[in-house]
Amino acid sequence: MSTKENYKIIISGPVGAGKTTAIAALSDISPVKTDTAPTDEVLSLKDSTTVAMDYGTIDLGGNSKIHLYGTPGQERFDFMWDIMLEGTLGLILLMNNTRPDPLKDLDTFLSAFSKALDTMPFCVGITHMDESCSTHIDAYRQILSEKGHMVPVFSVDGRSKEDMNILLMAMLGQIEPQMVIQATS
Amino acid sequence: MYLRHTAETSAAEYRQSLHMPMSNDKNLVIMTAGLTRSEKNSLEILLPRRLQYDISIVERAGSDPDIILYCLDQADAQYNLQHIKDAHFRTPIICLSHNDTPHEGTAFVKRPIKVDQLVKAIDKALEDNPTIGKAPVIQPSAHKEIDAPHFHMGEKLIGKLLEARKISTSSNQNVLVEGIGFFLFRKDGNVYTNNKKNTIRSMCVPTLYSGSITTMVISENQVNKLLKKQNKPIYGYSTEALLWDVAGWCSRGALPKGLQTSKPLTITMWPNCTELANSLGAVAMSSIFAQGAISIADAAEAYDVPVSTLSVYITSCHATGILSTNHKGASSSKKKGGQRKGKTGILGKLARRLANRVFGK
Repeated sequence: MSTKENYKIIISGPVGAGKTTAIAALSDISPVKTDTAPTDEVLSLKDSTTVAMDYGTIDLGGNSKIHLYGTPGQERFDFMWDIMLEGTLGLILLMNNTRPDPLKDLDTFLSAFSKALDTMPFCVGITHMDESCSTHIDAYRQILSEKGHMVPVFSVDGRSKEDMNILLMAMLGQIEPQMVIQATS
Repeated sequence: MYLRHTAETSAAEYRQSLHMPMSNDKNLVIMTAGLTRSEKNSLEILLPRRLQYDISIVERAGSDPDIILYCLDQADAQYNLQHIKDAHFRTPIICLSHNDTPHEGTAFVKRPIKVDQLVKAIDKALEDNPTIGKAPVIQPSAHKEIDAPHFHMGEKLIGKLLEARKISTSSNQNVLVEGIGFFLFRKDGNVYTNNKKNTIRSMCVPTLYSGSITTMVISENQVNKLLKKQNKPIYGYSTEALLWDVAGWCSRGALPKGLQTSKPLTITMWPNCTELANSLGAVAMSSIFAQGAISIADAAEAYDVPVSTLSVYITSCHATGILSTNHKGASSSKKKGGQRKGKTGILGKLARRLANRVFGK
């Protein structure tokens, strides 16, 4: 019998950012989804959307697990965000670059999580940059910098295991650089 | 509680403040060799309670342990112990055996293991090696300059590309660099070239003389003509990613002239690591320099990273304009890590797991 250690990481962001896909890329198990057919403006964007949460795990052996939770993207579910964030190891914010105003989205999420983000490590992944280059990565950095956050901002493909692992590694690097250096050397 | 870094607080104070004494904020990596599964499982449960440390028990020979528990009852135990001592000459070794056969230069605990005795032996090892299990604490180098080779960026490919980028940005025009295939800096912020990445890498080695390279502003019509006449594939890169990789390849472990190993440095933003040739390396180094100003000499010592690796990283930061020598710059960013307490063991496991996934192990 060995010590059981369970921690969670939250993946959040607006509709269509690829949160469910990112969990699938990171998880060791088939992600548990709570998708349903959208009834609002999301209908024009995709066939299904998350209404409660997505769930996946990274198994670290010896009963240690990292639990991955994806929040629903619509703002009307924002009451869940704070609840899910409690006791979390860190936050991955995924932003969809094809949204009408992705910078406003970033601002919304930074405001929603503002209290937690003062102390919690987080990082930002910009998805769909290949589909829309109207907003450059520097614009995201600028907004984060204005709010006093010097955090990793990477362009990512939510489907890419490599991209998502690198993003998560950067989040860990903010907590304990030594761990990341040892792991990568 | 985290201390914001200011010009008045040294790198050492800042780092120490990130590792304020918290009983669980210490991680002890124990490498075991020859222990039974039940012994290891018992130790995993009992040691953290008795030692007030997060304990990671590892078996990998390549790991970097704080303490080694070694079973002397295995076949070839004495012979293998010498190998372990050679490979981990700074690490305390505690030998375990059913027989009273202590080995020179190691502590000894008789089997069956009594936790009290083992804890006593580990405590003794910790007492003798006060830095074990602690996060690295940087001793101020007091402007210590260490030997590091330097190179002239202007004489290398990176110098030519930086010059072209500067012209393109200031004039908002397309700029063409010719003489080594071509590099076209477009107004959209991307670079197009007929060189593959591995070809570009080989171009970074020699010194390029000004006469062999031409840099010129070209119109949109000329761009179209240039692209049409190409019969080889054309590759597009983001300017930041290309400059980052080329700078690192040109550096080859040397620092750009003018940069010193003793001067505290920090980065003003993280590079877009997913686009870089050595993504994980960039993440690891950025983790150091994003935390606050630290000199290359201090970082090399505190994190046990070769100066050449740091030099490559710093050269890339310098080329992409994210390097700052202004200490005050670091103070504006909020320091993260509030959830770290007591989780360093699992974070280490997670980091190794993620790295293995990226490296394809």
